[in-house]
Amino acid sequence: MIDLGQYSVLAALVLALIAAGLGVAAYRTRREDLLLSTRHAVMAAAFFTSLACLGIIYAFVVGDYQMEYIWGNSDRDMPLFYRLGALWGGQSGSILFWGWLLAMYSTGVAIRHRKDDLRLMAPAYVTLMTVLAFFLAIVNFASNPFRRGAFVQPDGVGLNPLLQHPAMVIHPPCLYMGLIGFTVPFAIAVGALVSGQLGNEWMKKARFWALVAWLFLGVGNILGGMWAYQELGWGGYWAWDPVENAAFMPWLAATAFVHSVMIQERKQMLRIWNMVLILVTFNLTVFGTFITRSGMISSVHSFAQSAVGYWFAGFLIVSAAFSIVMIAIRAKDLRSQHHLDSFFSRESTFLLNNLILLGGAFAVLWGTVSPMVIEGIRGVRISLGPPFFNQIMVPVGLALLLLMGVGPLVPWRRANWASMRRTFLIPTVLGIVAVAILYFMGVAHAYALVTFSFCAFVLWTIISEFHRGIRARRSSSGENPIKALGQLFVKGQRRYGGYIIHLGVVVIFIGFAGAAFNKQAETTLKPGETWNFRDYQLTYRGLRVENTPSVESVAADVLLEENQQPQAILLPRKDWYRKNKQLASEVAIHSTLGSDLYVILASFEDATEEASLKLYWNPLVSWYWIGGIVMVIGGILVLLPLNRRRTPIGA
Amino acid sequence: MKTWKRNGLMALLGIGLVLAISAGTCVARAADIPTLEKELINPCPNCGGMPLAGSYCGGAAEAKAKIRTLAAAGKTDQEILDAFVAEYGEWILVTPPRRGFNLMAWFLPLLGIVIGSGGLALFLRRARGGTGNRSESPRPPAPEPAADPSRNRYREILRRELGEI
Repeated sequence: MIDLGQYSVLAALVLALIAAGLGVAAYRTRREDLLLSTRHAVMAAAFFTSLACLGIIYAFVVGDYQMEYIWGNSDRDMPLFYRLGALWGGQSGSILFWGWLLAMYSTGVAIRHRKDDLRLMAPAYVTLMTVLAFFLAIVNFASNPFRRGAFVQPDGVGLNPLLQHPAMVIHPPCLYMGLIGFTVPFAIAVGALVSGQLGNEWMKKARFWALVAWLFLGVGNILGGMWAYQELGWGGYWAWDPVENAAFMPWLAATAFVHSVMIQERKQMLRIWNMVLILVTFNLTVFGTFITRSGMISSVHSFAQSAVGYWFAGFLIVSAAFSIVMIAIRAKDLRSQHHLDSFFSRESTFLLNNLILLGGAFAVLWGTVSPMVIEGIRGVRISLGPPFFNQIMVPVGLALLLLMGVGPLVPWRRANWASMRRTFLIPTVLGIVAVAILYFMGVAHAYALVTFSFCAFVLWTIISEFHRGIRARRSSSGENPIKALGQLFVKGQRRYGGYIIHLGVVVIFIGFAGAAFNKQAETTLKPGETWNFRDYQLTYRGLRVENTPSVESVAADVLLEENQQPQAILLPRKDWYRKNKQLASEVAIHSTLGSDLYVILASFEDATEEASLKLYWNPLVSWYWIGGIVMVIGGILVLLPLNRRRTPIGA
Repeated sequence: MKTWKRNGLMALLGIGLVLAISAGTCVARAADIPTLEKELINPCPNCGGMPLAGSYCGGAAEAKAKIRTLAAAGKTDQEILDAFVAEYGEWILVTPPRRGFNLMAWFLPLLGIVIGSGGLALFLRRARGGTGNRSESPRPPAPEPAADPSRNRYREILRRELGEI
């Protein structure tokens, strides 16, 4: 198995290089048959990368502990589910997995764009295969998961217990799908830059892949939050950790891209800008990978760091330099006629959206690297924690939220003041009424009030857009409301799918606002004692000890009642992983739509069975996850090939 | 009427700003341990520099115990923070003291946004045809030239989409 794996990764590397070479030849000679060979070589490289991944999975399943990677990331007691996840649980496996995803994306490109212009696609394949060759070179020469250990181990040491969580099996692939996915629009952009095919063609192709990657990255970030919330035990889901930031920055830049391409489509404006956005997004993903892998910035994700950081530093320099040079060469050809009819138009709101998104991305970038820069200047180590980011990003987020409501109300080209007054009146009043009601209900947190008010505003905008759309369809075709709604998603796929994504964002912001009211408390209880917290009664009924060969776990048995009504039995616990010699806390969460009750077993006394509990009351957290699901639904509605039906079959 | 509307909007913005500022300033430093735990980084070298408040490893427990000891000894918030800085260095603070080069952290994002806004304003002005003096009030809608067939189509689509409102 080891030999097969090693040959596979080597074969994949050679094939990626051959594919890149064929792509260059195809571009030079403009020969379609060479492009066909390129696409076949892409698929062959993908085949061998897949084989290597299957090899690792097989080794995990059968427990081939002569491989260091298998030994270091699994053990005999691990459930099959987590053994699959162990493929990306460690450094070398995750890089191979990363390469595999890129190979799959490349195959997708080779299939989806099989009939597309050679001049655009040949350089795109060359770019994709160069990036793939880079990852496979790391796998082959720097961090090979198929490396044999010094001697055969009887059993593995197990996966880092923090990573043994269901979200951890889905979160990294999602995140990787997002981060690596931006290689595709980048490659297509490079195709456009190299060949000079700078019209809308590249942008339309790139947009699809950018949306796919954007969706995965968004979901990956939310799942990461879910993992942090349930596994790290500090009561929150986002801590502005460098690695979180690394995945958030490209998402912001990509969000700017998926919006500003609409301007190019409609007005032929912003051609340089869109090109720059996609290059920036890609380079931010490379930068993110670099800071994650190099361990240059300390982070809770430090399990992924190692010396391969230098490889990524080199890659980052090359790709950034290449991007800048290409833009500089093509700047003249990309220049477009800019014309705005009015400052007060949909176009302007899009530009403002881009400014705020990129400003936010820049602030996060700077917040992530400035401790290093300042340390370089002053020679004193400093930290830049969550309060810094909240200070800057909360206003940024609120501005974006408001813009999300304002944008759709402002017509393209030019707004008419009188009609604007009409369209803005109801949502503005609604927003103010929402604030008033909440204020008199006792909500006194300024940011939270502003958030709820903006949410009401945006919600009204979205609903009225659907209402208008349905009414227009009904009056023109006499459809029933349900059918009309369905047809909106088919005919105005991107627009109405986009509104669903916006709806998800609104729901997410409601979840954010809830965090303003978080409460926490801690106490130490003897068995039988009851703790009153708000409307809750927590009765501690003693410790429960459970032993398995690999884990010793101690749980506090807590009966949760709300207003004297039994709600749940909470079992916050501490797990001692014998093999890794690691202690992990498992929180107990009682989640409802209104709030989460989040209980941690902070410590306990063996003799007296006294338990110290830490409790977080987190209002509206569920809304964050629900908003994420709504966003995914919206994203799928945008991406589904619904419009194909429009092509007349009988024609 | 128009000015009334705009004044109302400005007033709203003003209120929002005041609320935002007061939200920022009214959280004066309370002499409580939870706040201190939020303002300090977990000094444990293996735990990746998260705030102390959410950390439960051995190192975090020691640091928390130290806060309690110092608080019990009658130290003020600032004295406790200073004691931690003296022992570990500035990085133990979740955000560094706002002076000297540390200000760069806050200054640069603001500068970025200012430059970005300036760039956007410049772009809008150029795209609008060089007349930047009407930046606030949009012109009353010019009568649509009916001769342009593409515009007619546009209006047709618009009418269809809007329905009979």
